[in-house]
Amino acid sequence: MENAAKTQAAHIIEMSNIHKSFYIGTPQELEILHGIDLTVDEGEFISIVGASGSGKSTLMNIIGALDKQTEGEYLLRGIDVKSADDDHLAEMRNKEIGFVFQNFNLIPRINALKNVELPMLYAGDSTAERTEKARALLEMVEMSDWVTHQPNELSGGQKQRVAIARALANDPAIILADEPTGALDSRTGHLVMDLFHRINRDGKTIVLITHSEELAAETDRQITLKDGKIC
Amino acid sequence: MLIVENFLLALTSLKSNKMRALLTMLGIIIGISSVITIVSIGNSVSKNIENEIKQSGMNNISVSVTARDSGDNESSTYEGPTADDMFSSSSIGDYEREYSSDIKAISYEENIGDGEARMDAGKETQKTVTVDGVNNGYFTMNNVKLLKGRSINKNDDEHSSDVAVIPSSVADALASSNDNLIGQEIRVVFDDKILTYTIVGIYDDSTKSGSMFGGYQSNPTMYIPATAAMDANSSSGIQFFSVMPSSANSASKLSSETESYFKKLYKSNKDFTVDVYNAQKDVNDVMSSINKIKAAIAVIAGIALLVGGIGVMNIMLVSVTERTREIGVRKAIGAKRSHIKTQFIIEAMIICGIGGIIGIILGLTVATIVALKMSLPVAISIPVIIISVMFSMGIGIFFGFYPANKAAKLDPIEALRYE
Repeated sequence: MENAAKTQAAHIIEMSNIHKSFYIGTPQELEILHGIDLTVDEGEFISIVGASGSGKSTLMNIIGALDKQTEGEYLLRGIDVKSADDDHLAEMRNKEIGFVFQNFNLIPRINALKNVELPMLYAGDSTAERTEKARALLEMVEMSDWVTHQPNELSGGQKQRVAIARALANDPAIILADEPTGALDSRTGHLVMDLFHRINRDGKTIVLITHSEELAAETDRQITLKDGKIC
Repeated sequence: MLIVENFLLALTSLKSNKMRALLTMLGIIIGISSVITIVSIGNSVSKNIENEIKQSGMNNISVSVTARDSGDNESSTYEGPTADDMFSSSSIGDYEREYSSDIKAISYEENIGDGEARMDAGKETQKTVTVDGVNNGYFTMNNVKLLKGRSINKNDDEHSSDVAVIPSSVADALASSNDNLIGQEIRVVFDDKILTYTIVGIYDDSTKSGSMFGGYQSNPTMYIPATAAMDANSSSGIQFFSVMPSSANSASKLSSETESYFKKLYKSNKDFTVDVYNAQKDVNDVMSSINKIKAAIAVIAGIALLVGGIGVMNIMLVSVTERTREIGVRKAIGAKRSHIKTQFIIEAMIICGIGGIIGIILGLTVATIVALKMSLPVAISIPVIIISVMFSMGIGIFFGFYPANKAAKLDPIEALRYE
């Protein structure tokens, strides 16, 4: 697996003929994705665009190792996701995926620093390591003055910056951002997009899921999803 | 490391819902404190009874010659036991040697009655005393405290020596000083006779504690050898004696051994047999009743604890539902099932642990107050405390497990979508 990862290092995501069906009570079966082929290279900033119902959330869940495809092959940094069990999937999400959500999804009642530390905690890093790295990440997203603040004391834009810092915590293969500016006003939204561009310039691969053509236009490559197919 | 983090996290989440956490704990507090209270008070009562038994010599075994309950007819004229039917100091001696390791002391008495004690050089001319013939074992069994000289010994008993151990009150009354009383003679005047004894010892009769016959004795008692008393009474033998076992535990064993020993001995005696009685048996019955009551109440208290535990489970389930989204986020950023499970189990354990500690303090306080009010000995049992803490933690694990497992099994996609 080590070798496979090296030889295919250029491809972070390799998807071929991905199908996803849901059983909505036997015998009906609803196919959402009808054979997706997608390759994302290291350092790319791509966007997946599509109207609601196009299957982009389903695709995002599969890319993010939250869900498994029904058919087809998906290699995340050369690792076959479909064969992984629950705990192995959790480990993949922990190490290889950095989630950024529309509604931030910070853990309430714990401060910004602890939120950023959380993925490292699950990875088993020591307290000292975690704190040091979390502080550096918060500095990087210009949130140094807010480390001890709880999520409910932060504005939307600040929350999203903490969330981005958290997504970067374990130095993942990709940042998977699902409508990251959806809950922000356009000015703050732009600031968040600027942050993504900066992270991308530092070499991080980013997959942005959005329904906004305007945001998608800012990315290197645009993938449009319609009725469960790339068009 | 994760344990510490989870511990702190659980505390934060409990703090954010103080009232709810407190009400949940209340069930555990009531359960644990009632268990502790009941067990502690029960122990106090048992201990109290045990102490009373020790003091009153209830461990002692009574052996007496009784008429055989033949039951065939009533025509047989009643006659008292003859010398052959009764015990003698030598037959008792045989028995004592047989079970010497289990016997601490054997005591028998022969009461002569009340008489006037007189001495030649006394402050007062006379003093009414009860003259009681006893053996050496009597002194051990009744905790007779010698102030001077010696007690009645085996030699005195064997030779029916005319020696006496007099009470300090008599010594004080009849002599100006009791320094040189030992060796002097004391006369006791009865209605029909005058008996003279040589004083060999003085015992303390200022406190009357330790007498198994309790109550008050109107006259001070002067002890002489049992055999000497039998001679004076012209009685033919000993009808009753008591045995003090070497330890409380051996009482019932010794009792049954004694019974079979004498039953065998009296097998050929048509008219008389030996009755062996040990209060320990009755005490055991009382104790087992107390233990049954204790167990029954403890079961009820245990039910309270169970209800408390269910309360914890209920709140944990609410907590899991409330935090579905948080669980989804945690899973998305890499929490494994075990991480989520640990988090919720620790939270349940903390609720139960804190509740348990408060319950123990409350229970011990109540038990101590009750024990003091009822003037019972305070019996705080460390094992019970340890078991209670472990038990309440166990409740946390047991009743936290289902909700924690439910949380751990949540589908991250569903959980993230939860509003």
